[in-house]
Amino acid sequence: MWKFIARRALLAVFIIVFGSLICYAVIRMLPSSYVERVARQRSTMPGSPGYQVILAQLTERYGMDRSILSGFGVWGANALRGQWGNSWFFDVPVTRKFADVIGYSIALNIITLFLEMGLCVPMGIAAARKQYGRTDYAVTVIALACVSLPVFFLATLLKYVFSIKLGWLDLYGVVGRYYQQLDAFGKLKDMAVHMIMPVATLTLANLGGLTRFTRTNMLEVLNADYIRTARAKGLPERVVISRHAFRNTLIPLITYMSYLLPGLFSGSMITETLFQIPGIGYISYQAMTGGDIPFAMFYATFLTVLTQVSLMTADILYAAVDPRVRVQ
Amino acid sequence: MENRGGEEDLPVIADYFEETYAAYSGDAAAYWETEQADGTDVLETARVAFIAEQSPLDAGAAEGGVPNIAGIKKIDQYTIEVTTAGYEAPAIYSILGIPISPLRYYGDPALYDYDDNQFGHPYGDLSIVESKTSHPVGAGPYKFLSYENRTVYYEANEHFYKGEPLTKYLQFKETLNSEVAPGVMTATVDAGEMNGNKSNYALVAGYNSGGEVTGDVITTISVDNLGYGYIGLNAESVSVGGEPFSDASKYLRKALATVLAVYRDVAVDTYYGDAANIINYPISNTSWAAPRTTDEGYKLAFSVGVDGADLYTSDMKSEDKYAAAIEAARQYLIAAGYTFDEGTGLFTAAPEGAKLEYEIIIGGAGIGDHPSFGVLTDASAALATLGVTLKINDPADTNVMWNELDAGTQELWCAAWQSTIDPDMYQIYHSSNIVGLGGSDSNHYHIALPELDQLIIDARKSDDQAYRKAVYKQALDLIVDAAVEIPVYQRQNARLFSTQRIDIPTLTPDITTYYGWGADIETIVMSANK
Repeated sequence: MWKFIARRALLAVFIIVFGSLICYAVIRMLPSSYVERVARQRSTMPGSPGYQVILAQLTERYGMDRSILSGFGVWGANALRGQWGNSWFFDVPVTRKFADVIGYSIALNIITLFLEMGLCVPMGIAAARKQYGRTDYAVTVIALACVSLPVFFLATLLKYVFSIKLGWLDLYGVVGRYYQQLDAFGKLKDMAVHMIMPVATLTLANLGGLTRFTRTNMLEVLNADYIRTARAKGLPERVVISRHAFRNTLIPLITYMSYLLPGLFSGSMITETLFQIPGIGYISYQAMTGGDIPFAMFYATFLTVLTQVSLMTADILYAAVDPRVRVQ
Repeated sequence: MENRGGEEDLPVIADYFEETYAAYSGDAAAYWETEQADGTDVLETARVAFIAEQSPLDAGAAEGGVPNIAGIKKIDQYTIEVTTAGYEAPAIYSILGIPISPLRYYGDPALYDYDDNQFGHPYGDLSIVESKTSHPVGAGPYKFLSYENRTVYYEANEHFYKGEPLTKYLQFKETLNSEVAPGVMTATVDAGEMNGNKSNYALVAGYNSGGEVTGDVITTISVDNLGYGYIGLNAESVSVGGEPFSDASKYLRKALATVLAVYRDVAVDTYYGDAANIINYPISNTSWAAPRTTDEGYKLAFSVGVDGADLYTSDMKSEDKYAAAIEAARQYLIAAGYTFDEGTGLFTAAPEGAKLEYEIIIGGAGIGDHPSFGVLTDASAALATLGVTLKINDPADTNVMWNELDAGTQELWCAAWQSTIDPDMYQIYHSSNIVGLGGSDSNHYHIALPELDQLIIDARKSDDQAYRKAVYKQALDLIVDAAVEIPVYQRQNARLFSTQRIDIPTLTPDITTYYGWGADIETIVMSANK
C-alpha cells in the first residue's frame, strides 16, 4: 500500500510541475498582457513619457522580458520558498486576496453540495426502484430539464421571477442595504437570504447529473444476483435498498465526489458573476483575463495540488470501501 | 547634473534615481522588490531624498530649507493665489486637481501661523501628514467606514464644510453595467449610472408605468458624455507615394471618409436611438470649443466633392445621399491616381504606395457590438461596388486593435476619445506625439502638419476663450482636411434615481457633464426620512 502511495505521489508531483508550466506558458502567450494594459493606461495621462517607454520599464519591472522557461523557473523557485508574490491586478499579496474571497465560494458550494446530496440521491434511488413508473418518468423529466438549462439562463430566470416580478429578493450582492446596522445574527440571516438564488441556481444546475448518475448505478446494483438473493431471503425492501443496494453504489459515487474538494475551491464563475458574489470563481476570472500571473499561477497550482490530493484520496478510499479492490 | 547660476554643478532629481538604481547593480527585479515601488513610489523616494539633502545646500534657499513657496499665497480664509512659471491653459486643471482638505484633517491647528511660516506641522517634520497618507482623509461629505462584500460603506461627516449631509449613511455597490436599471427598479440600489443607449432606455421606460424614461419608478437624467466616437485613418499607412499629406493622399483618405461618413446616421440611430447625436468635428459637443451648427463655416463632415462643391442638399433622400457619396469617392480616387475601368465600373489599379484593399479594425468583441459597426458594413458594401475592398476586422479581444495602434501599423480603426475639460489638442494631434517619437504616443493618426502644431501651441498659450475657440476651429478644419479622422457620435450617460425612495427635488437641480449629481450630495434626502 505504501509503495502505491509513494508511486502515486511521485506521479502527482510530476503532474503539478508540468501542469503549472502549461498554465504559465498559456498566460504568457495571451494576446495582451498586464504590463501592456497598464502601460496603455499610463500613457494616456498628462505628461506621460509615452507608451513604448512605459512598456519597456514595466516589462523589465515585472520580469516579462524573460523567456517562458526562465520566467517559470524564477516563479517556481519563489513558490517553493512560499513566496507567491503580490497580485498585479489586485495589488495585495495573492494569499491575502485568496483568503479574502475563498470563504464565499466554500459557503456557496458546501450548502449546494448538501442540498444536492439531499435531493439527488433519494430522487435517483426512487427513480431506480420504480423504473419506468410515474416516479421514474417525473424524476427523468426534472433531471433532463435541469441538465438542459444553462446556468446563465437559470440564474436570469430566477432573478426575473423572484426579484424583478415578485420583489422578494435583492437582484444581486451578498448583503442588503442595512447589513452594517444589523447584529451578528441579523448579518448571518441577511447573507443567507442573499444566498438563496445562487444556491438554487447551482443546485438546480447540478441536479440532473447526480440524480441520473445515482439512478443508473442503483439500477445496475438492483439487478445484481445478491439483491435477488436478499429479496429471496425475505428481507424487507428497506433493508435491501439501504444495506445491500445503496452501499454498493458508493464506489462510483466516490469517484464522482473525488472532484468535489477541488470543486469547492474552484468556485462557480458564472453564478458568482451573475449574482455579483466576490468568490474565487469571479476573482480568478478577473485575474486570468487581467494577465495577473502571480495570482493566476498561485490559484492554478493550488487547484492542481487539490485535484491530485483528491484523486489520491479516492484511490485509497476504493480499497477501504470495497475489499475486493487490491492495490498492487 | 545642472549648473545653477554659475555655481558649481549640483545634482538633479534624476541623479538620485540613477544612484538608487545603481545600488542594485542594475538588477531591476531586486531594485523594484526592495524599493517596493511602482513608478510613482520610486520617483517619490527620489524626490523626498533630493529635497531633504539638496534643499539646504541650495544657495537660493534659506538656511535649512525654504520657509515658504513664494508662488503660493493665502489671500483669505477660502482663497489662495498660485503663480505659475508661464501660462498654459490646461495647467489650471492640473492645479485644481489637487484635493483640498481643511487643516484639521492633515495637520495640527495649534501649529498654524501663516505669517510665521507655520503650516500645521513642525518645520521639516511631515510625520503628521505622512501618518495619514495610507488612510482616507474623510474631509468630504462622507467618511469612509469600510469596504467589504463589494460595497464601500460611508457615514455622514459632521464636520463637512457645507454642513453635515442630510442622509446619514451612503453605500457604493459594485454593479454590472447591465444591472444598474434593474437594480434601481428592484430596490437593490437607489441610484446608478449607465450608458445611454437604445436598449437601456427602453428597459428603464418599461419599468415606469407611463412608458417614459422618467416616471413613477425611475427618474432619468441624461447628460452628454465627456468624449466622442470616431473612425481614424492612419495618414502614413493610408497614403499615396509615401507622402501622407500630398493632395493624392488626402484624396484617397477623403474617398474612404466620404463613404464612411454618409452611413453614420442610420448606424448610430440603430445603436443609440435618441441617446446619441452625429458630430461633424473631432471634438466632444460638451466642449465650449466645439463648433455649433449656427457657427459660420460649419459643415457636415466629408460633405464636399473633389471640386469643392457640396454633395448633399437638405431635401435629398438617404438613397440619393449614398449614391452621391459613392460618386464623390470615385472622383476622389481618380484624382488620387487610381485606374478606373469605365467598362466594368471598377477600379483596377492603385497608384504607387496605395492599395485597392484596406483593413479597418473595430473593437466589437467579435460580434459587431459597436456603434460604428453598421457604418463599416454599409460602407464596405458601397466601396465594393467601386472595386475597393474595405476589410472589417472585429477581433474578440480589443487589445489586438490597441497593439496595432501602439505599433503604428493600423490602417483604419474605430475608437472613442475620453476628453479632458480643456479642449487642448496637444496630446493627440501635435506631431511630437506620433507613436514612436518619444512623446505621448497618442497621435495614432500620424498627423504631422507644422501649421496645425503652431495653432495648437498658440491656443494653449492664451487665456482668451474667444480667441482659442477661433484657433481651434482652424485646427479642426485642418484635421478634417487631412482626412485622418471621421467624427461619428456624441453619446450620453444616464443617471438613474429611484423616484420612490429618493426625494427627487433634493437632487442637484442642474446636473451637467461637468457638474455631477454628487456635487451636492449633502442635500439629498431619502423619501422615508422626509
